[in-house]
Amino acid sequence: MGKGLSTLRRSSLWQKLKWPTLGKGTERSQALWAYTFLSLSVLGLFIFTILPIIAAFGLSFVNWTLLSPPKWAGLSNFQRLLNDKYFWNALKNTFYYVIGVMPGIAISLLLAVILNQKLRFTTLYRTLYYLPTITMWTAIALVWRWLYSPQYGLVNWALGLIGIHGPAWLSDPHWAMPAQIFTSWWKGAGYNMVILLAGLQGIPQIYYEAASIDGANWWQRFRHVTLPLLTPTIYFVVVMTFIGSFGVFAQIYIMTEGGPGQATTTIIYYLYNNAFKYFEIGYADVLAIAFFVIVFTFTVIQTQLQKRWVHYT
Amino acid sequence: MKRIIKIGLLVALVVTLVTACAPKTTPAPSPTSVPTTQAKPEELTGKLTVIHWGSEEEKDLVAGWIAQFNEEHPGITVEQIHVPQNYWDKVAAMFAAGTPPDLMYMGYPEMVRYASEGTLLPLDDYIANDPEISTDMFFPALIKAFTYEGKLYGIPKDWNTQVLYYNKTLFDQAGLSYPDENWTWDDLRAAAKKIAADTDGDGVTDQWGFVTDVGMNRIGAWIYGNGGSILSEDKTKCTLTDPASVGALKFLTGLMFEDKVAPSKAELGELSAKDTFSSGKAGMYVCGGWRVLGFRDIKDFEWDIAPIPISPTSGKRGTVVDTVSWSIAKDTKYPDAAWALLKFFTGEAGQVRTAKGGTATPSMIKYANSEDFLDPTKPPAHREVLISYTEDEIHYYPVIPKMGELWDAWGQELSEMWLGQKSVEDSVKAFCERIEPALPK
Repeated sequence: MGKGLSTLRRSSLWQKLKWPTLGKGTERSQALWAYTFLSLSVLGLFIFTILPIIAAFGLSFVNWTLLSPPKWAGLSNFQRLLNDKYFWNALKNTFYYVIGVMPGIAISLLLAVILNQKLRFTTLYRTLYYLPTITMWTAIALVWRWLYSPQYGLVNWALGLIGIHGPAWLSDPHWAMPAQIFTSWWKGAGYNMVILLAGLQGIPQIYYEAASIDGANWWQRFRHVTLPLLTPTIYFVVVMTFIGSFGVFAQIYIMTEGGPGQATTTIIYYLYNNAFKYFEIGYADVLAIAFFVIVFTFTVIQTQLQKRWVHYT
Repeated sequence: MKRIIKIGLLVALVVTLVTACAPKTTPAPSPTSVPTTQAKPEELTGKLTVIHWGSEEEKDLVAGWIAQFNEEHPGITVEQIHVPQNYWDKVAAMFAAGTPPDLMYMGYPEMVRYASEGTLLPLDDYIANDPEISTDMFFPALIKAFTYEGKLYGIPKDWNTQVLYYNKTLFDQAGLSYPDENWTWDDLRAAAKKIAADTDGDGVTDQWGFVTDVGMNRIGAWIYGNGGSILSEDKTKCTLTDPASVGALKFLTGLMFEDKVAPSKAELGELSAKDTFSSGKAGMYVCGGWRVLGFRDIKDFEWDIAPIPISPTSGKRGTVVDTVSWSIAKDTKYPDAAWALLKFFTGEAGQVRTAKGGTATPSMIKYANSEDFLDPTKPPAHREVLISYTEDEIHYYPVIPKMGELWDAWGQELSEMWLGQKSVEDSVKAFCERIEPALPK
């Protein structure tokens, strides 16, 4: 933690941040106003995010069914976690999903590079690719359920045109997760594309000019100028995608309900079931803590690894 | 030092907030006194919260009844909460917050969890001391459904059994006689084989003999009929691995994967079993009586209902009951007012409305046998089938306090079996392994 924080402190972003202090005159009154406006959202953050997090730690030591008062359980919920094969299965599925979603970043990068060219209707394309991002998961998941329908779905119809007999995507234990991953690619492509596009446009043109003068072709320019200078953005996208996809829930809940069998039961879906279907609030909180520890560990590892491949200008 | 004070303050704040939200450890003295003398309606006072699920139409209906109730009981204020979706989350949250609803819709599978945690008011003394209502007015199977450890926790408002819907037009075309009360599984299978066809000749069956959803009530009907069960009588053991239970599942999966006369989940895809039947693409369909209303709109063919066929192995048939009650929270401040409202809800107005509607059977014997319910001028011609099952043919969901685990085990561990990707034996084994830790000890 300490190391991660010091890395953050040394980073340029941190240096650029100016903390409004209660100085003198105009500065003081401006700072006061800033804090006044901030206070509401900070209060909201405290009540709806920070407090529940603290409560979750406390509730992990009790058995609570919501109906009768919580009973002290000590560490039994944690012991249960270690022997719960459905938890390990959910963890496995979550990693399967997360690793599967990662290649989607390459699609976003490709889109970003293409849409960074001066083409006709660029703005239109950018808008179109961004549309899935701002559409609610509920609507998307319902539509994709129909797209994946084995007999009447568009996906299998399209596969049929090239002579492939498509599987029953969402009700086949082997194909349900790949189908979920593909939908996530489609939904997430636009969001990552916009961020990468911003990164691309932040690369000074002079580097390309210099490389051209040195006789670099488009691939060499991409490989030795674009990619290295884009690594801070790619790093951001990778970390955010990792954390976001680790917490996958809505699409699972709507498209497959964790099934068939347990094939798409991810950690958060399993947590939800424990809390609101089985009414095991204490155990659900243990799952939440496990989730936090795993995501935190991987994020720290990523901040360490970034030194090897991320180039800040 | 400053830091320590800050942390201390934070902890104090958290503790106050957490304890403020937690349910009180000392529950309000529960009403154990029972009205020995009936208070006059206009003298009753109280403020009641009523929570229920259902359509917009149902919401308006309940609102109308509340208005009607208030004409006789001006002293009782009723607040209605209508929850169309995620009903149980809302109810649980209200109990957890220490402000439970006074009256609520309650299904008997959920009732056991609430009753076992002592959150519902036992109604035995109320019904025994009330001259206007008695348990013998109701179907005994329903009183049994809402009885937990010898106490009654809800007054049933309506109910349903599983029946066999059949497409008369397809039966006529195949030259078959209609299903009747003597029909066995073999008859069903033979008829399904005759009806199933590939009508457009593209090599894919598009007219099915039989179709079913795979919910615990539909499938339970076959399991119980075959003499099997899902859990043992005392609910401490999983019995889905018993030969009779496996036999029923093998019969049903056999129709799908051996005879190929019933569509599997994979073949149905996003199309429901109900839609398959109502669009005329299936000869027979098993479901509860709640489909009657929707099926009355069918124009393209004629249909009727029959009892679930008899198992050739056990010589018996089975069905599974679905029923909803009005229940009262134990911590209600106005038990007498709540009882008066419950009696009104489950009384004549509700019963007649159920009888005239097409989604459920009245819970009172008298109204279920009324012309309103049995009306032979509207399909199905034999609606009495819904109430024709004898007491030993009627079965229940195997209700345990941890019902959520049971629903999930049923839905998830058997799903590959319904896709034809896992054998019945392996699936029931996985089911039992999954549910056993959640069974009462």
